Amino acid sequence: MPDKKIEDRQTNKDNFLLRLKKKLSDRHIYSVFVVIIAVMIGIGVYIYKEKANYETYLQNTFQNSFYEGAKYIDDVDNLLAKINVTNKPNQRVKIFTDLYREAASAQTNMGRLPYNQETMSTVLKFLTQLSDFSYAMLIKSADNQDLTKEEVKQINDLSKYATVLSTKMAQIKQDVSDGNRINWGEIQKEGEQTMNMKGSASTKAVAGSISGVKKDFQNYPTLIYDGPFSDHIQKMEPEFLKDKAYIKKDEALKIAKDFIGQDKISKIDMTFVTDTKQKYVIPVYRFAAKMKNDTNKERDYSVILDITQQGGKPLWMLNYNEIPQTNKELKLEDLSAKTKDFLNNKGYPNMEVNYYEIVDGAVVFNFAYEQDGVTIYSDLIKVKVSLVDGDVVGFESQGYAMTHKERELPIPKITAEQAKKEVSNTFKIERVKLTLIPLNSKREVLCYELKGKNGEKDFLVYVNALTGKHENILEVIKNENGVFTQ
Amino acid sequence: MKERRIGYIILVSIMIIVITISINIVNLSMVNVVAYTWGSRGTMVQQIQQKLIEWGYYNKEVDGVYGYDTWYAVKTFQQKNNILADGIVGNATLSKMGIFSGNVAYAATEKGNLYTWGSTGEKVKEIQRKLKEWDYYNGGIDGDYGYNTWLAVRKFQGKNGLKVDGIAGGNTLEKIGIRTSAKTSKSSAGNVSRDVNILAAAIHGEARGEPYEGMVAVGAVILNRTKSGKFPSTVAGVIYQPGAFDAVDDGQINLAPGKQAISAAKDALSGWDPSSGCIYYWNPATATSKWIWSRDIVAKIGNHYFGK
Repeated sequence: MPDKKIEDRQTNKDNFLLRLKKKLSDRHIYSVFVVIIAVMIGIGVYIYKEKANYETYLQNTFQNSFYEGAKYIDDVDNLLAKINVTNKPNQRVKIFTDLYREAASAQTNMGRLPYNQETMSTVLKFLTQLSDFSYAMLIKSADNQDLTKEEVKQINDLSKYATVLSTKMAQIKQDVSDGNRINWGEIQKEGEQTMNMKGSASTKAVAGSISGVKKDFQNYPTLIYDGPFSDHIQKMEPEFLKDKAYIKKDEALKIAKDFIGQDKISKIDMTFVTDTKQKYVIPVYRFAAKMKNDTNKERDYSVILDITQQGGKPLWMLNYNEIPQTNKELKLEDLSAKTKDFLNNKGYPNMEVNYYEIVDGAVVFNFAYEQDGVTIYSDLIKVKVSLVDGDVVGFESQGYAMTHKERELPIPKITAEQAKKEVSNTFKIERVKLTLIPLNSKREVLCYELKGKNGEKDFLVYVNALTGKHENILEVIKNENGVFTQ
Repeated sequence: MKERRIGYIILVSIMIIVITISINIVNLSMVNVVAYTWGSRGTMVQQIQQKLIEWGYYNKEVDGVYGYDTWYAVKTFQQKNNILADGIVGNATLSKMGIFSGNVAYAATEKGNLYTWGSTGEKVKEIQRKLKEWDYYNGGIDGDYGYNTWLAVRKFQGKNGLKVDGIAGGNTLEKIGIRTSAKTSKSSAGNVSRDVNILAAAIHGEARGEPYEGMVAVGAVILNRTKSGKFPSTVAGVIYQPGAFDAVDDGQINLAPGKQAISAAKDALSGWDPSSGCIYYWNPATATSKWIWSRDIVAKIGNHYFGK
């Protein structure tokens, strides 16, 4: 008799509600509610205060970055103006040192502000380049070289834009001291959208004046100098590929299959084609393959491979099957010899292993090109090889693609013996070798590589084979995870 | 009369609930270093879950999140081992689990010699001796790493600008002047591992569920930013730049990264770049900024577009 039951429950429920109503009319129960509400309010106030504390803390952190950033930008502006007053390289060393440091500090502080990325990237790029440029000039000045006409012009340009920026910052500071408060929280929220400001007037003013910087920097010149952030770096052409013919999709597919190994693939598809209108990107055909020996059968693909449209060369490959843990690992010497053969077969002759690092059951070998016994460190290929079966599970040749060509190597002006005299007495040299190394600016210099020990540590010292100058010093780290430099 | 009594019971119970809630709020806002309980996350929790699985107390995923299942497993473990069954993993529970015994590494990410609560032996004596010489420690040199030693190590770390965690590991031992076996200070710090943890966390927060090459690509974008000049020049600077990454803004970066994210971070640091040198990416379905669409699309991987 289900109906009866429901009825019963209904009456029970009614009774319960009735009783509850009765209870509520009791004074004591009301007081209980009053207490609950009081406690709730208490908690609310507590949480609110906590939140206000955090907000203030955050606000102060941003405020700190803003004022410090403004101060450094001001300094930078003043320093740049001073350079034109000097007439000797050694007088400039101090100014460039200060510029290098202060511009970097300004960059760090400005990078912490929650402005929208578009605006900020302009400001940050300017400060980075200024710091980097100053460093290049610092090295030159310390070498007692005078500034060229072009460099004087660059400094004047930079000075002009530093003034623009410091004026903007001064203006914002003025606004703030007039009683407007910068609400960084609001700026952060508005930063996401592009300047369709809904915030308060002062927020608008602050964000508005900073976003104005972008307009002022519209004609900011291309800055080319000997440093890693110089504009020429982004605009480099792939030397290895640039004169080669474009290939068709089917050809690319064939190359991809050959590279991975036709017999190992169970399925292969093209997943992406780079638009060739893109500038400063190596256009590729991207392939994704499912392998016969995949550990995870449900995954759509386990190997990704890019074949360059120009020249049809494999640019990079990754196999993301997990490598099983075993104690039976292959010998590194055998693996490196095998990998060298692999590269040779794929059309990369004369590659020599320099460093390696063991990562999760695989070893990553760094191969560099060797020309007439000279190691060309720019022409770099990384190959990741499984320690379990020696299969190639990763390939990366972007460095090689960007720089590889047959070079005309300069003839050393100093001998190896002279180079050896350029290092400290405590440095015990074990081996000397001629190498072509890329500087941070990607400029290549012919160097003697002096390998040796200073105390217990291993170092590589690079002495310019033309000038005898120290170009770089690297520490060699050797341990159970590999041999690499830092 | 009866109703009155019920009223009081309700009152008292509600008060108790309210008090516990507020205590919890206060507790949660304090970062508790030594105890792990509801809401704790990280490699340490993963280690606890691992141990509980080994002994059959826990059969869920090792996700590094201390939720109900972990709590229940810990409680059962505590009951079985005659520890106060409060579901809080403190020092007693940890040492019973064997996580702190001898030279066993403290966290999965760190290898080498670490000394902390429960450690014993000659090395601990040496630490105590050194700390005593410099007036950080005033207990006995008994080779037993207890509260006083822990406190002294913390004091020492604070004074010397080290991470104050009360664990005498590589850097702390070096500062104290105790030589660890030759390689420890650098054995885990290769080229690749330097930024691996923070990068893996960013990849996990931003791109988990994406295809593997999409995860590597997100890592590569972060690394490309450090080299572009338009962004801060360090990995941490780029990741924590305000408003740069959603996963940082909403705190997802604090989740413990999964295995895939860690491998992806390593591949990105080794130089693999499926993004072809991009410095932006966005999800076309959720991107709020109109400006981002003015970027050229260089690559499409999974749910992300990549641009320069």
